[in-house]
Amino acid sequence: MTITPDAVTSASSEAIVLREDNGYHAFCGLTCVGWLYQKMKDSFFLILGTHTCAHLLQNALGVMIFAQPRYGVAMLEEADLSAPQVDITEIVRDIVEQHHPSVIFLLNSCTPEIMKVDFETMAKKLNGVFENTPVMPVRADGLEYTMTQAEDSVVQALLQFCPQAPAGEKKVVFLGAVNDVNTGEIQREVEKLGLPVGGFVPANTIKELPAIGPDTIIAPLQPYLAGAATLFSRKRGAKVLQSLFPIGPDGTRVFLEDLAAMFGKKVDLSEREAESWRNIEAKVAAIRGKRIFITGDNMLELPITRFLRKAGAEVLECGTPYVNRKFHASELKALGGQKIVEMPNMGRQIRDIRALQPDLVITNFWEANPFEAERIPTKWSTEIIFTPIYGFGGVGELANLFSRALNRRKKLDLLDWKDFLPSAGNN
Amino acid sequence: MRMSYWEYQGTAHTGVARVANSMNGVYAIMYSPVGDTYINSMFTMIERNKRFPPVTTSVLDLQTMGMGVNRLAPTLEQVYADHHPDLMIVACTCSSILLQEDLGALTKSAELPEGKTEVLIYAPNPYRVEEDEAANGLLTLLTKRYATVALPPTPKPSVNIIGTISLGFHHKQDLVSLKRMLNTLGVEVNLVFPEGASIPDLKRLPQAWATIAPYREMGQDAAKVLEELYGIPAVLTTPLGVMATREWVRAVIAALSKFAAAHNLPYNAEEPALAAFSMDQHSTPSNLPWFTYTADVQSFSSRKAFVFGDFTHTVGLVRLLATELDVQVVGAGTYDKRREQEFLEAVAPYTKETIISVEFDKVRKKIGELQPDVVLGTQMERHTSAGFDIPCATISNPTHIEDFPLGYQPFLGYDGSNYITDRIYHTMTLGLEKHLIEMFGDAGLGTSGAELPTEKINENFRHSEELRVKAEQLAVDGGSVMEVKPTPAPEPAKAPVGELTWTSEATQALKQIPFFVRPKVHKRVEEYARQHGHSVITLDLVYEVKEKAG
Repeated sequence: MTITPDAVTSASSEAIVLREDNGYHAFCGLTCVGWLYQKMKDSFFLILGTHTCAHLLQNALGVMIFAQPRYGVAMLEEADLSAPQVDITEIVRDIVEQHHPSVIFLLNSCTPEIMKVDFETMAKKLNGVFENTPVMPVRADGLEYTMTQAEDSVVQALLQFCPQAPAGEKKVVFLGAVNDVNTGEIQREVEKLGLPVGGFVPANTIKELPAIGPDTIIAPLQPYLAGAATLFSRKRGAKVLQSLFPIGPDGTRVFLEDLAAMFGKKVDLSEREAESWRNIEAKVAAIRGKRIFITGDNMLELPITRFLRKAGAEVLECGTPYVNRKFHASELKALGGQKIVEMPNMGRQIRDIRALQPDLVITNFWEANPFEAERIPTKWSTEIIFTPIYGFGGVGELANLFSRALNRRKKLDLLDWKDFLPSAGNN
Repeated sequence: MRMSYWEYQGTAHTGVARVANSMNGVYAIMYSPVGDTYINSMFTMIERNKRFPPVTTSVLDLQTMGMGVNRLAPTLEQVYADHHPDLMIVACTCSSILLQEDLGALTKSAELPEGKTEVLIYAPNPYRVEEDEAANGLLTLLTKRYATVALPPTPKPSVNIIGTISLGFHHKQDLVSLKRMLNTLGVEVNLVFPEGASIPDLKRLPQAWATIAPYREMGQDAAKVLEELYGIPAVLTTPLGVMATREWVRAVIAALSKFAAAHNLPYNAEEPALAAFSMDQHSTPSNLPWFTYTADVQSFSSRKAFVFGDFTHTVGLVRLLATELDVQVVGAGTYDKRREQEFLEAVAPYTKETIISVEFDKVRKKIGELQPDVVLGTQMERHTSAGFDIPCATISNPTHIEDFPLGYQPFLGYDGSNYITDRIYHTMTLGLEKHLIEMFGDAGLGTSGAELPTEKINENFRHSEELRVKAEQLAVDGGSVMEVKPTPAPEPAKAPVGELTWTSEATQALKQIPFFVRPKVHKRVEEYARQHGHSVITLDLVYEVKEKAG
């Protein structure tokens, strides 16, 4: 496929962003349900979709997921395709009666999108019927969204459950689904700096969602929440922190310093950052000098690349679903000279990886084992989404992800058994 | 419209991907939005395939659709340039099929070298055709398309094996078992299809003497095509269980004889000695018959089993359970709605209750109603059964990472009969042990055992010494099933206790009682002694209590 240098591509001091346009492999937006339903404990995720969507959800995350979690598919069958109107009232009634959720997220998918089902109207009608259970339309179809991008849609839908904060109430609200250990650590770290914390979106339940108002500072933890940050700012006048994402000692330091600056405080966390690097030195030693290739499927790639470079690795390519020039501006600035490829073409990447023979390939579920079969070490990209890597508290876990993979390979390769391993091309 | 939380099968394009992933030199291109290649992760993670799956997407997205850009032709060009496949199969998914586009016209503009590769549009309706049927239909189509020229038969007797497929339930291990038996019969394998076959290989299908297609849902139509076109007899029975395997062996010999006679070929139709099929060449190939006569397996006759899964494994196991293990099959069912009538007829001799459904919740309700002692089902029935506290073994797809073991675990053939019996017996035994535990220690283990997973309890049961300690602790704690009152019961082995004295003979007698009822007996004897004004517990008194208690 053709690689077209992006129009914005500029001087060597900045990242070089290329865009490809086909052969791109990623999960669709529905996949985010797999972790969001666990994060939001009083929610229900209802997908208007097909048999394929149901099969995807029970298999895609690599483990078979069984019955009756707090998500399901209102399954369109052949007769529904020609029906004048899609009605899911009875299905929603069953969900309300069986699961008693505080909120139902109604996700679209490719088929109703092609059928041009009017989701907003459908949700509005359902809200008229079920007054105590809000039904929120969420865009997640594979025609437009990959997995983490749809998380942005869900977070946007949460705004209306956030109480209005009065003018003058200046608190920071963090955006991003992170686990309770990470939220606790981040909150403590920020409060130590004397900054008041409003809370996290999403929270574990709807009732715990923080108030947001004109003086709220929105601090995005993850790079895929541009839509939510913009929406919160537009609807409530909240200010959005423009900084690095709090991933790695370097990112966390800049994130916290920039956040403090928004509260008019000047803090210097250089010693804190140095201490954090010292804490993980043994792990960093495994990463230092290594050549790493990121195929890219979840949008965490920019900050991960930045961390790996700071840790002394060379990132041969940073693939990513897409780059948001404005929302990712700070990260892009920190990635001078780095090759970044949006919507990377997997066929081209496989060719490049074979030629480059990197020390580690960070890649998705379906390419990892084939690379291993070619003796190219890998790390699952999806694991990064599920690991509490944020803030100074997450630095150890973050470094572990890569150092463990590299160290394990080194140890295994000492055994006299290479002839037991597969040869390329055979199943 | 129905609410779905879980499905037994994927949709049509999954079946197409499975065929492509089984073969060499075949590439599947999904004309679909991003994400519909999710099946690839099952090939590499669940099946642990080593190749990059030959399945990709020609990406549909709103932006380019709006601009009228179509990526299908460039995708085909890239796939050809990267992989040089003999065949590229273009399939739709449930969303793209609604666009009703002329895929033939769209693919025509691809610049591909003449005669080097071909493009096949295979787009069954994903709203009607599920995974297995789409794969099965594709096997038929490919057979008709490429096995077009009659060939002289192979010099030695040979067979095609059709239906062995990627993500098939224990298929690769079945293939080893089938090949071992064919080897014993002196029969060569002409071609396995689709597993490991290429497009040029398919042209060789007509030179076999017979075709073996043991899976009802996969490849039997292709076998019939070869029978109709070239008179190659198709053996369509499933060698699952000892009797079915013996019948299958005879059917293979009969098919080869028939072919040899029709073509005037030499063939020795003698059935080899049983030992020739065994692993060590001098014992029985299946221990199932002896196993089922052994004394402890007599209890199987009172056991109730429920079986649910695909057609092939359910029908095969119902027969095996009902006849060879003499278990009561209280119910059986399949998610293969397409073969409802055939299924009902096949299981009719062995069970009265049947269920045909693609909805696991209905199957769950059926299991709840029937309350079997053991369930043989899919991963979903295993999940369901855990909820009912009924032991369950998996015997059918949908595929799961556990179904790709490192060791040899076939379901078909004599080897398979051994493995299946082990699997069922292990499941049943654990069930029995758990049952015992509940009988004798329900409330006690229910409280102190709450933190112990079932496996741990069973483990403890095996190490009876550990459990003796546990049981005695329970007696002290007042486990209610043992009817021990909250007053602490003394250590049974210690005498004298309180005002009561146990003679050494009586203590000895108490020790001979099985550990799990010992505390109960101990208590009952002391109560009796107090009621009757005894201060010394003698052996006679113990016997007296025992007799009175009946």
